[in-house]
Amino acid sequence: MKKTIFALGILCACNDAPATAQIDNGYAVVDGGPDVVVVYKVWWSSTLFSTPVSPGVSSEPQRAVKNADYAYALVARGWDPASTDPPTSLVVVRSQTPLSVDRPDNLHIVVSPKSFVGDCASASVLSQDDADFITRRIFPGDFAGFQYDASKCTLTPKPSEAGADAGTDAATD
Amino acid sequence: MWLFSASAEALEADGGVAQPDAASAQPVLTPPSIRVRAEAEYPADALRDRLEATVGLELSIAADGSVTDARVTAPAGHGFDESAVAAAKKFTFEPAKQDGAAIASSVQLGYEFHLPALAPKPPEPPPPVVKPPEITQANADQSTLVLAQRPISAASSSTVRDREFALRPIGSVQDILRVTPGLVLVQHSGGGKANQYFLRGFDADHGTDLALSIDGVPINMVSHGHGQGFSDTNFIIPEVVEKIEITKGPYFANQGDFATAGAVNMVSRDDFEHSAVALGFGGSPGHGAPSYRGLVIASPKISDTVKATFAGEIGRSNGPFDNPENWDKYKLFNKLAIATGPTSGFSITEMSYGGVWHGSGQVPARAVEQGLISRFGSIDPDEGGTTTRHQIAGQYKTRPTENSELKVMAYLASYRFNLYSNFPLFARDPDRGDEIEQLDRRTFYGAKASYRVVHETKRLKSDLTIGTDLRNDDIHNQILHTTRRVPFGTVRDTQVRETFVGAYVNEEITPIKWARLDLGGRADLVSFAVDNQLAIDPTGPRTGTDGAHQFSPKASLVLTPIKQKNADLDLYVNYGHGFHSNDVRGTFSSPAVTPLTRAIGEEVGARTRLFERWDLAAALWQLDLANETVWNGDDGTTSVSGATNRQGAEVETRFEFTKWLAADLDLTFTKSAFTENRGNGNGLALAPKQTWSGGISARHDLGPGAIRGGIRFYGIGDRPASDDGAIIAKGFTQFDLHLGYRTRRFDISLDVENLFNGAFRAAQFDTISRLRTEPAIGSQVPAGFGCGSGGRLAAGPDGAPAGGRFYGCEDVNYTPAYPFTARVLGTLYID
Repeated sequence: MKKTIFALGILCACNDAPATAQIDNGYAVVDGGPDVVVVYKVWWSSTLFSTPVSPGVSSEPQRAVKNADYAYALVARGWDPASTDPPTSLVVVRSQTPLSVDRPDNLHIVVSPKSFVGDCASASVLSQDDADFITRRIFPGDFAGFQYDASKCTLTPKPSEAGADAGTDAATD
Repeated sequence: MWLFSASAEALEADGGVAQPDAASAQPVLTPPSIRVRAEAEYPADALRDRLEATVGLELSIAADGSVTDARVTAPAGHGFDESAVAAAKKFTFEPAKQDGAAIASSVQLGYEFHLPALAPKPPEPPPPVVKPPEITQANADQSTLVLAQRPISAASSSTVRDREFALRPIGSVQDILRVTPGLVLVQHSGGGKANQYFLRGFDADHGTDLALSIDGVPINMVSHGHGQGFSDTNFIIPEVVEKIEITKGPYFANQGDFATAGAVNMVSRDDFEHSAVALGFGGSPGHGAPSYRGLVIASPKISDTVKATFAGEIGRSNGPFDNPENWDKYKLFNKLAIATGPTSGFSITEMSYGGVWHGSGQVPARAVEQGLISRFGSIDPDEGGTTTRHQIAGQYKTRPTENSELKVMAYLASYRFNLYSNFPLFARDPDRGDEIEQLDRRTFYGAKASYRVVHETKRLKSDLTIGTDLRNDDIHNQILHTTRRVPFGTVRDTQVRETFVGAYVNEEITPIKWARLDLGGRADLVSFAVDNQLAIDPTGPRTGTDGAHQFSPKASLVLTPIKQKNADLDLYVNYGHGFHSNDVRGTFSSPAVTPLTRAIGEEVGARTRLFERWDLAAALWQLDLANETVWNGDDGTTSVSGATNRQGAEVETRFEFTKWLAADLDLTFTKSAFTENRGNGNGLALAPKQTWSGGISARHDLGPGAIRGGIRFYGIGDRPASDDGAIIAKGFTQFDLHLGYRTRRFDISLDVENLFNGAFRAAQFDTISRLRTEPAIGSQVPAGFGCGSGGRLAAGPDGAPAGGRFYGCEDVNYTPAYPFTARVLGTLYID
């Protein structure tokens, strides 16, 4: 009988809450200006975080599926999240390591120069292949008609198809 | 106790013994009536197990009124048949008379066994004394003309009662539906979504070619926001289902929309033997949190003529998924049944259901193969939805005359449905994803009426039924683009009103004792109005009104060449037209769907019962469907598809080794093809080719109660997922276990689903999708890129060759079958 109760206890002890994830903007908190780094978008595993997160602020936790995968993010330097206009420049970054979470834990995805690579301002550079992967597959809409230079973290209009054929990377992919 | 209704069979004069003179005009026939009844002994096992039953009997009555033979026409097993036959042979009748002269005759009747009312509680602990049932003549003028159930008209038809359910794992009403031979159900995305139904070569999706109803109230939803015929049975508490009535094919005049592959009507109980409370829980070890289920049944004994029942269920299911279902639900069932006379009565039934859940969708096989997610993973954790259904139905039945019957029923229902799905994943919107929300808000109501009259002329017995049915749906459908369940665009927004009117007649003629002919016809009319609410919607349905009609002839011939105690044989030939309706939004779209799609079916079959313990039925059938063009509820467009032909063979058998041990096996084999491709070997996507189900079950005394158990299996063979057969939906066989023990006061059961923990796929579809990490749509396919071992690169727009560019991966997207899952349910009977 005791064994039965113990077994039931183990079974019932499982939590049926899902895994969740949230974004923590780990960039330095500054009083406005060009040094403010806003986390514009993040994609991790099967969850898109599309609400911009200011420095020192965390997003609301979102339902996620347990997994282990890299997180990909776009950060906007000097952009005001209250603005109705999208940022004019974006920096492409990727987590240093795959991030994982299990049920019912909450994964904190801390976007900062320490935990993500690719922010040239922190002397961290992604390979161009990795950057192309992120700009063409993960966030194609944000780079439609633009070419991202991973070594300089700059956006330039694509010479041949500026403003057209949004989101495709026909020539090289 | 007698079933107080009459049928033509009861009037049947025995042609071989006392045939009326053919030359005499209009002889006056007087039916037999009971002079002396004998009391049937209630089978001890059945009494102990608290089983009730109705045994169909056919009695041969000599001219002197004695019973010369008693034959079981509708066996109930568990000792009921033998007991009923023994009692019936002791009956004596006032013989049937022709022009005043006694003649031999035969009569069919249903012998009902009802559990006796328990004696008042004794002051001492010993078990209460249970009196055997008494068979009394409630009305001295009652007729012996018994109108039991109409005899079946096709080898593939049957009725299954609750005592069979008790030997199976029953965790939901879907488990009850699995008693239907040849019907395979699989869960689809888990949670509160309707199941996927497979029957007679149809992957009937959520119910497009399978008519489901409870107490005659349709479950299928016309022009549903997710899919035509969507049949969500989750609103039904399984314990309230007393029996299910099964027919296959379009041969039955009283069945209209969706009854092409088949129809299943569930009949709810008027009352329960006991009030009860039950609590259950279960889960899949290693796969998340357990589920629980609580059930309350109150069935107060008000009077002999008034029965009232309340049942309520709450529960949470989580499933084995990495993204837990968190499926919270409640269900209510209220029924009041009042007998207004020995042969008349009415009932009012109310049912309510609410559910909210998260789904894991259909995961791409390649994503699992590449290790991106587990089998129980999800690409879009926002899938799922909410749904509510409330319905009230009233039924009235009476016998205006001794040989006629009038049935009337009406219903009113309210339904709400929100479903978040994502099938293409990131193929259309690579940034926000392709998640959609489908909404369906509707009120629907309807009525059915039938009048049946039995009469007999000199040589001919006829059983005529005329009937009509009406259904009206007022629907608001929407498809929204969403991300994280937040809408950001409207794809479709449509108001629909759809009205069906049907009328039918069926004449059952028995010219000679061993032959019966059913001739029927049915006329259906649908009128509808579609109002596109979007100001600008160039690809959506136009606003307009239209209608369609169809006449469906039906014919069945039943021959009984052998009718002996140890060997019965019935042969069946069936022909009939039927239809399924299509989503009327599609009729105002381009290309357009037909409002009604005609089905034409033919069938030959046989059903036999040997040695009073072996039931065997077999059928060969084919069904032609005018087209398979459907409105695609997922994107609000039309999917054009041609005419199809399905041919199949079915075998079902049940063998009773002993009174306590029985086994059954159902096999189906089906060949399905587009008509224009017939003979070319081209498959029809997702059409099941083979299905199988069966099991062995037992019930035996043990201690103060009875133990029961069974091992069952069901499965489906490999089938093409794509029309060209290049993508394969793999088959599976699942084994389930049921164990239970019942005493007077307590019942405990253990159900195990997927006993051997097979890792197979349940619902499967050939789907074109793009994972977020895959190449952009239209881009060059990178060297070395693949769509997994079972997939392929999708063709370009409009099916054009892709030309080395990426337009998504086409592979099987599936919902995994539950792994080993155990459920325990304890029930306490409280009166």
